[in-house]
Amino acid sequence: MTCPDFDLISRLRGHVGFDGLLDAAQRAALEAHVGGCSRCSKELRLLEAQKDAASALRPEASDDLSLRRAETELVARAREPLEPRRWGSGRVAMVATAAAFAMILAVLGRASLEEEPGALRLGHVEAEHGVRMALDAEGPQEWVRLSSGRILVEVQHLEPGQRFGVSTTDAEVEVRGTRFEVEAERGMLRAVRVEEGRVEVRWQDEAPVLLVPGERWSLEGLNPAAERAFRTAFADLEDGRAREAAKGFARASGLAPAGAASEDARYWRGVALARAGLRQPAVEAFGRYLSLHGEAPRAPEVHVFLGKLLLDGGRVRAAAEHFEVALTLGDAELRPKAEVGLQEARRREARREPGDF
Amino acid sequence: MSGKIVLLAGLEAEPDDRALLAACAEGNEEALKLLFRRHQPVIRRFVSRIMGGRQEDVDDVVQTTFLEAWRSAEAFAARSTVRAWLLGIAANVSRRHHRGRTRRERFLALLARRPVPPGPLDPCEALTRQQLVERVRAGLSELPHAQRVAYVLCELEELPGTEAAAAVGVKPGTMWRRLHEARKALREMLERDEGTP
Repeated sequence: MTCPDFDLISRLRGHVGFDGLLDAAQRAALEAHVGGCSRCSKELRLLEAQKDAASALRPEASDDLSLRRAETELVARAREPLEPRRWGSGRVAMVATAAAFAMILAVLGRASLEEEPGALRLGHVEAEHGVRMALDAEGPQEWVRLSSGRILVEVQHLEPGQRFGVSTTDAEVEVRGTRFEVEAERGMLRAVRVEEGRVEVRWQDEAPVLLVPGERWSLEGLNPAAERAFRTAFADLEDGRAREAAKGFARASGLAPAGAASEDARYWRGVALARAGLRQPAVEAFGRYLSLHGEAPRAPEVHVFLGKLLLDGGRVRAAAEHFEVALTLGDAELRPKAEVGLQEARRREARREPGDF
Repeated sequence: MSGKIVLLAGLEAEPDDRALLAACAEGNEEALKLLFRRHQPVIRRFVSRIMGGRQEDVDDVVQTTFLEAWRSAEAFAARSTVRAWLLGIAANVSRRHHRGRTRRERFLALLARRPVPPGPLDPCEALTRQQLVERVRAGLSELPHAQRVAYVLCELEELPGTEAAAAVGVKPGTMWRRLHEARKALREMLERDEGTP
């Protein structure tokens, strides 16, 4: 058996709670090989050493007094509707209006409803019953920190320098004169729907997505706007407009990052970028696909794509790793392609062409 | 520190984590204190490893984590342990906190903090280890946030994969992929550093 690539070494080491990384036969073959191979044993030891070194990273110890101080401060912050240290000491207000809605400033639902119509200058917020949120206003900036529930926001025209938005722990929704609805759960953004104006959603590491009236951003599930974007992008790709297609697929996955079509959109974005001749963006797009959908049925195919792109870019060792993974995970149809790629990568590595690594 | 609090009239108990969260949802500040005392060491260690930065930032993120937990206690869906749930919140809070800082600031913070020397080792061995710790620290700080969280949750906090995945709201397969990529990236960084004169 030739030495396995790092992917298999990592799978062999595994981690508790991840099952099915290797089947019994693969594991037995790998263990037998690693037991007698100094190079592979060293790889495993390096993983342990890496973990051991990282384990030494610890914070400075807290003494009992500072712990008590932190505890007292935490309780004081929990009693307040705002987090003054983090957000500053700006004016805070809540506006309760429509009869159909009840506005509840939530510090665990324990009162603290402060009605001061007009004090929130830039926007107007209506909240469904049970919403948990805090409002934060400082100078020309006003932010709604939404923990759970659904709110409807209306923002008048903003002057230069003024900002208004809604934030959750994982996302920000910022507006420029608009009316929109935001829903969150456990501090995480679930959905945004725009009625008027435009809204930019910035969720985790995804590219920002601009929503126009009638459009909806949703974390999961079916999203009509995402499906429309996907169909348009696919038509662009078929018609040879690969760059436009790549943008469209990015928008499709951005509109519903964990939605039904997001895996498809990320895959096709990589294909579109490759067809457009944008090798490095394509490598990044396929890399992102694998980081999010590494267990998807198409992952072995993406490893082959990545291998080819990396090989074209002279990164022969990285290319070989992807071909090897594809050989391990791919089906009978894919394996010959991976084998050809791997042989080419090894041939070029053996020749040590300038620029290879 | 005593862990006993009176949660319900006439009932003194050593509450488990879920009971503490339920009490938090009712506005019981003693429950919040106990939750903080019980979990802050783990959360602080986790945040410190994720952010690798200034102590005041770490403390701020830790406090905000418990504040978010207090505000969301009622929504705890028991899909994971309370500890994993708190770690998930801490991961989100630290990402948000981190975004505001420039790369240079992070780099300077990295230089400013030196790790506590390891236990009694041979000086050469200690130096090698210290260098490795420094390189791993630098390597961790270069990882994308999601991979860093996966590595620290699984490898260092030793959360089972499924629990770590539930904590940050991704599928186990995604969490595994992130962990693997973090391992791979760290290995490549260490390999690269070894090749640097």
